Amino acid sequence: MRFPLEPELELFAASVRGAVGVWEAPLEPVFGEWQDDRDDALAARLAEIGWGELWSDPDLLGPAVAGGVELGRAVAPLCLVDEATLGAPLAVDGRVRHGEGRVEGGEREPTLDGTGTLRGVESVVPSDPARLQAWGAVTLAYLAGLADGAVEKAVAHALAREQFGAPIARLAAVQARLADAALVRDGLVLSAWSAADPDGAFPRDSLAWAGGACREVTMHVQQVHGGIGFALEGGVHRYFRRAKSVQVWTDVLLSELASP
Amino acid sequence: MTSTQQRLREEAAVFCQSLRPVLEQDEEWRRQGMLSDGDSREVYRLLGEAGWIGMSWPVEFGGRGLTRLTATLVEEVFGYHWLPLSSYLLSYKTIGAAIERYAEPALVDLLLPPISRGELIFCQGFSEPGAGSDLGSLTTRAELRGDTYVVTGHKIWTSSAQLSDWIYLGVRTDADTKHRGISVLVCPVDTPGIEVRSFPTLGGGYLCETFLDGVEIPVANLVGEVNGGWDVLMYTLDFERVTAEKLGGFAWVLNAVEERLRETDRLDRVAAGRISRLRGELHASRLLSFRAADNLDRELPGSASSAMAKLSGARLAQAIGDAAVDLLGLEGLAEGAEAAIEGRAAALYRASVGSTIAGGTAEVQQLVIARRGLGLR
Ligand SMILES: Cc1cc2nc3c(=O)[nH]c(=O)nc-3n(C[C@H](O)[C@H](O)[C@H](O)COP(=O)(O)OP(=O)(O)OC[C@H]3O[C@@H](n4cnc5c(N)ncnc54)[C@H](O)[C@@H]3O)c2cc1C
Repeated sequence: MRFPLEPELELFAASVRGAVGVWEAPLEPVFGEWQDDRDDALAARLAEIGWGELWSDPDLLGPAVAGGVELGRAVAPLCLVDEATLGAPLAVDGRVRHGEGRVEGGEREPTLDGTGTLRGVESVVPSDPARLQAWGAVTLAYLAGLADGAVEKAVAHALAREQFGAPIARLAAVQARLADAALVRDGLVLSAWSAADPDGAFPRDSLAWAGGACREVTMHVQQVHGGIGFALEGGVHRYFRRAKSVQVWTDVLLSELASP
Repeated sequence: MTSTQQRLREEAAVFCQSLRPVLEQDEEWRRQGMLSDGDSREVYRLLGEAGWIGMSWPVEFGGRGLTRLTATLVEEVFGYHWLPLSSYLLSYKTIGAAIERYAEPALVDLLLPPISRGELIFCQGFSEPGAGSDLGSLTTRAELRGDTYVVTGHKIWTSSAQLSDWIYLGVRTDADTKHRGISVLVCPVDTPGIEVRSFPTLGGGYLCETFLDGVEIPVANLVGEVNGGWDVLMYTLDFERVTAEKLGGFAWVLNAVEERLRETDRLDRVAAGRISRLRGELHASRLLSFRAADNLDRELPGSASSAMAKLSGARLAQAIGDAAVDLLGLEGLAEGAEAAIEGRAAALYRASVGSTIAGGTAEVQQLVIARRGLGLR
């Protein structure tokens, strides 16, 4: 479901969609490794339309959210969110989130160890409140986009898949599941937009809720797909895996913010 | 638990520890997030050699004449040690049970002894692209020509078919009725006309598509009556749905997470409380599994109790996979031997998706509980 946007926001969302283009997240989870889905060409296309500068002006939070939703829908690399807002990718043990390998110049990227303890840097939280605000809003938008993309796939599947002589979309159990998923999805989208308010507070509570909520949506989506969602082919699982990853990373930042 | 059961569990634990070097060499074992979907021909052979397959079968078939409940208690130990069990569960626990009950003696004599020796692996060809939850609508045709069935159709999600020696097939022998037109046939996987293709899954292993084109199967390979296959399939599922082995694996994950948090000084009250609640749920789920196994031993109607065992275990898989990643934090997202708790948190998180789908979806289990257990129609 597309939420109606103001024309200029819709325009920006469309240009993000265009920049993402036919890009697809890798199908195969890299078992046993941090997944590397960075794509220089994609990053360059986004840079061309101004993605990355949006944090610098509070009035641009709207386009940032519109674009973040599109990135989530495409399950785009998370470092696109981090670099554009925090100014650097988040990294764990020197590995960029969802990026394989070490990044040169270790000072730049906030680094954590596996247990979430900071290493060699004072904080992963940016000192510039505008960056933090943008990160919060775009992260919410990304989660809303994940939920939206996943629900769209599940609805299409439920309408197309027939069992017991009719589309499974007609079954009360399937409808109830999709209704639950849709209401959380809408809550996520609305939360993302509410965080786009330049005068608003940092959406800490929304972020604390959103990761797990998005995960729940993707779980419903997996279930509606049945066996087909368990095959790597088709890629429904990307939403489900990504939602958890965003949740865990977000929790690290939030706990950092909460510590005295 | 009786002292014999306790002793067997201890023996099983020692045996499992002896398999550790074999397991560690197996790459799939590292990736596979659900031990019951994991597979290893070598582990199956070693289980058979050591007399662990077919525990509830009579001694003449290579069994130990124990109850299902006792076997279930031992399977939980296999799970705790994370043995890849797919072949075992298919060949002995589910398909083996149906063969023992429904097949003609000659077929029983032919099949059960090599299963219990760990030499013969079965896979289960029920589901089709058009027949998942609605299994009764399966269309794989079996036409009788003389004393041979000629079988043509397409099966999907066939676990372990890539390793299997024989396949257990739900086929349509009467096109005019639905459930009463189904029969069950078994045949070697290398019978001409069978083609198996495997594809990777989110669990870290493989599932298969099985294509059947003019496959000739003797009438003697029927399991149960012609057109009586629905009852055989349902009986098989009642056994499949007792999943104590999975619960053993979950208990290991909870212990490992607790240990890791203690080691890294993160086992606070909130974390300990969450682990404790999950252990409580796990305990209830174990009891549901043991009750279901006991019902099968007593030949009581088992569908509802098996569905409860299955559904509670499936939900727990997802709850524990999720909680393990939450509690470990970032390191919970990492996989592989070097990662925290051997990467099992992330692996269980992704693999647990299949638990509310395989063996009948969560919704199907609910229907069984509501209809068969509560009499709601
Ligand atoms: C890991 C794994 C291993 C498997 N191994 C085997 C195997 O070895 N052999 C084999 O034959 N099969 C196997 N299967 C297949 C499995 O049995 C089917 O995937 C399952 O029965 C669901 O069918 P489906 O995938 O077609 O989903 P569908 O039936 O299309 O279901 C899609 C969604 O609709 C819901 N739904 C459907 N009907 C109803 C209803 N009446 N009421 C409420 N909700 C409904 C389902 O719950 C689900 O959420 C395996 C599956 C997995 C994931």
